[in-house]
Amino acid sequence: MKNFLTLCKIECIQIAKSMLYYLFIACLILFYITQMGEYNGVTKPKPGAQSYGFTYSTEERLMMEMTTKGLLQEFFDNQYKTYPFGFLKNVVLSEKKQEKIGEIIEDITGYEISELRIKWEEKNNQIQEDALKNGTMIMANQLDLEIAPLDSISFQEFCSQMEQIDELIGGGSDYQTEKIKTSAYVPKTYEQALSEYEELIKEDGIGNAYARQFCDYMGILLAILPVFLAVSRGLRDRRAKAVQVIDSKQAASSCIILSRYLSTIVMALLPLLLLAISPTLQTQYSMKAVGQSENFFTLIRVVLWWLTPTILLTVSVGFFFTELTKSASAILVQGIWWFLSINSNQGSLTGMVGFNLIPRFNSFGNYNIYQEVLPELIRNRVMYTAIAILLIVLTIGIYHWRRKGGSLSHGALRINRKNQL
Amino acid sequence: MERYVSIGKTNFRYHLLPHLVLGMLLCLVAPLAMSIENLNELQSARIVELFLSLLGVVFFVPQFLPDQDKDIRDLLSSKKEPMLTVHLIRLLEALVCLLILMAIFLICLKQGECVFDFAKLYFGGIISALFLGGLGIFFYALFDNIAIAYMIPVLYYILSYGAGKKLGNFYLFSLLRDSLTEKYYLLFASVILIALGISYRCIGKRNVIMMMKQKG
Repeated sequence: MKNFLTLCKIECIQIAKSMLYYLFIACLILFYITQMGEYNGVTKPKPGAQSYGFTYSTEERLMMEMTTKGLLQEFFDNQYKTYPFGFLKNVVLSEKKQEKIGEIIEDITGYEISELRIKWEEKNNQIQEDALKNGTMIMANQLDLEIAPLDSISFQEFCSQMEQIDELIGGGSDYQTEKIKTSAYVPKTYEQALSEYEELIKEDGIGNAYARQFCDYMGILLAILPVFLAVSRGLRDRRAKAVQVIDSKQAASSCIILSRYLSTIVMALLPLLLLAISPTLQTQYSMKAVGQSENFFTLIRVVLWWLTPTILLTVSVGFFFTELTKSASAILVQGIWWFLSINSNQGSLTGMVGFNLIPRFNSFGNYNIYQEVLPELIRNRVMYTAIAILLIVLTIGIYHWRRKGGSLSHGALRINRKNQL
Repeated sequence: MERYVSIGKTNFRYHLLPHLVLGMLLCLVAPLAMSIENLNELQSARIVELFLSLLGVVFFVPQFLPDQDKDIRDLLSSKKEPMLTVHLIRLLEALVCLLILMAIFLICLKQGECVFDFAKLYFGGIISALFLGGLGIFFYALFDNIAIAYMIPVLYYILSYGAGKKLGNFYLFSLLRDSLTEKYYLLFASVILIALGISYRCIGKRNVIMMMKQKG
């Protein structure tokens, strides 16, 4: 145990002395400042305000209207958002498939496609003219043709028509029944905003709400950055020509790898915890200002359980692939994983968890969504922790096998028995 | 000439080939993430800039990997052929791989009835990849650490992804805004970065310090 702690201490000092670690810290700080911005506190909603934000509606008619609006937009742009493998893929359809979708739209709306196209072009021109006059940007959701589905169509019929469209697109589109149910995004009323505020300060806590947003942003970076620390550590022995010296030492392989692993995790977490101090103090002050109190470690606790599995996995991938291939291939593996994870969350940025390495919660509050996705989030975090542990156990195995003289030569496993300890 | 061919062959077989396979895999994965049929100019630009620009990281960043070991570097330096020639051959091979793979991918897009200006996208894609590669080469030479060499271009890519406008003329995905102007800046910066990186690696850190001391 003493050996292990000594090794951990040496590793931490080594990391702290490396240029890479300072780049790592600089990236975290830069990302935090540019993405999180200033904390503006929480204010009680006042009656008569212009807007109180948005929420999802459960009204079926509204869901149908909003889905039709989105469908018309995607149809005329001929660009459909899909998530076939869990990540975003924009699908452009052939003329034949477009015609079939056009027929379904005609059935739903009662309009001819040619009529709708004229309306769409008129609206498009009008928006562009307005934008030119006022010098404003054209927003994607401005192109509302105000066309609703026919009253005679029931919600079930509508969903079945939409499923046909989903099939034509190739699956995973916004026209799956499940997605239709979350399509009606409507403005909040004063009462809803007030109830959310009460929920925030009494049940959720400002620290918790802020922590989720903090984890959302920092998770993006922590799903890739620690792999550089891990790869650098994994290749250091070879560069320093210290492999044989370390191999001949008495320390167990598990002790060597785990000390490196834990040190990398601790050093990756350290700047994150320091960054969390300032928002902790601010959210504590906010809670006091509204006459409530919250545990001082609330924010840090959320940061630890939310982000540690991400760091564990990223570092494990780094250690495993570096030990396996004795190259920097882990960066490529983790890079692809990061790219796919970040692209899978383009649909909704709040409460998107699934099996994604980067669970998203890009909003302040929304306690009800958080409560809904919490079991899923816990499953996700436990799963990645388990994968990380499995990978690091495999890394120890590979390291031990190499120490005994094993090698990977021309794609085959070989062992030099003369080199066995 | 025979020597150059021999250096090129060895580099391709023992160093570039696995990276070429990785690059090809990256191109094969692209259709899973993005549609490659019936795309318009902007949609095609998106796939080239967001996906194919990463080929630069795959091909160029490991420029100094074969002589990562100091002993091998010393051995290479003792040979008749200057290190600069070896590096230029490696660079040229990586560039040829990039040019070929990018061209094949764009031809596939054309086969998928995508509508775009071939020359514009080809030029734009190559420059973005070259810039990311140039960043990697420069920082690899500077820190002699492969992890840093990969980290900097990847971070620049993430930065372009998130805070594009703030990068001004050095924005990586300018074709998404239908602008080619940034590509000329990126091309200029790539040439400078690659030239500085290779020169620094050839001259060596100690020699640079000695030269600075002599001047001082």
